[in-house]
Amino acid sequence: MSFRLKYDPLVARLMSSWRLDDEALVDVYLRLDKLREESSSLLQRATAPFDGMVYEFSFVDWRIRFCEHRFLFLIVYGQDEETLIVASAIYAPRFGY
Amino acid sequence: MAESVLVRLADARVRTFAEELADARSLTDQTQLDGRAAELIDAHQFAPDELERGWTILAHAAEKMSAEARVRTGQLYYKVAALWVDLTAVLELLVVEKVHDPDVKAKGLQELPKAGARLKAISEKIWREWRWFAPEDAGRARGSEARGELIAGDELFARLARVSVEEWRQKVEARKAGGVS
Repeated sequence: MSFRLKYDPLVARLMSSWRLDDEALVDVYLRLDKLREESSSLLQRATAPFDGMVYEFSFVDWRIRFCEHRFLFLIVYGQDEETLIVASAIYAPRFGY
Repeated sequence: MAESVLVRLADARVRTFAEELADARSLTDQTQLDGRAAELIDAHQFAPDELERGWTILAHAAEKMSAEARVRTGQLYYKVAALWVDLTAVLELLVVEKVHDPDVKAKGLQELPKAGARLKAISEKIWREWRWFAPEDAGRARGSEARGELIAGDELFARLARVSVEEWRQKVEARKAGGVS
């Protein structure tokens, strides 16, 4: 099953504060876009401290001194059950690992 | 807000330590350097305890925060913890490479990896256990859906990259084709 993927305005506000460059933004976009086709294998059920569906991924940016970009997204099913809503988003870079 | 003040204080503490570390690294007098390194090592041993205390206070406060404040505070606190991890590694290098006093070296080398391991564990705990999301987040997203406020991916990312939707799609296609966008 193929889903539509949409974003809550909160996610737009949070992501604009991340100040990712275009290369990293494309990476994030492509990873999230995978959810449309592969949600069943990519989504994880979190139970603590929150009960819900999350999508976590990371990638290493070799251009910026071994920076690892870590992301965590809260995903909610839309009312039509054909839409996945990205409801919240976390970003945490780690340097020098 | 109290939680923001706490994070700012923790961040300021990291910055002060980083400045002192940079100052110590620039010392050319060996006796002064050894003494400064010893002070920094002593001070550094409190970092994990301070972070643990901060975690306890912030985790409690997070229950009353808005979704946005919860996320931003968690991200800032994670960043503070990650900075402490990096500073431990730099301090360890300073002790290994520049400190000649065997007492300082022995103590530093013994204590720093322990502090580093604790700091890494705290950093990971923040990532794993911070109250990033809450049950009301799902309701808020469905409310946005009902009001027709959800944003399509191309539109959102084009806005973030400050390009048109068409230009954004070209960037994505270029990456998929293995080129540089």
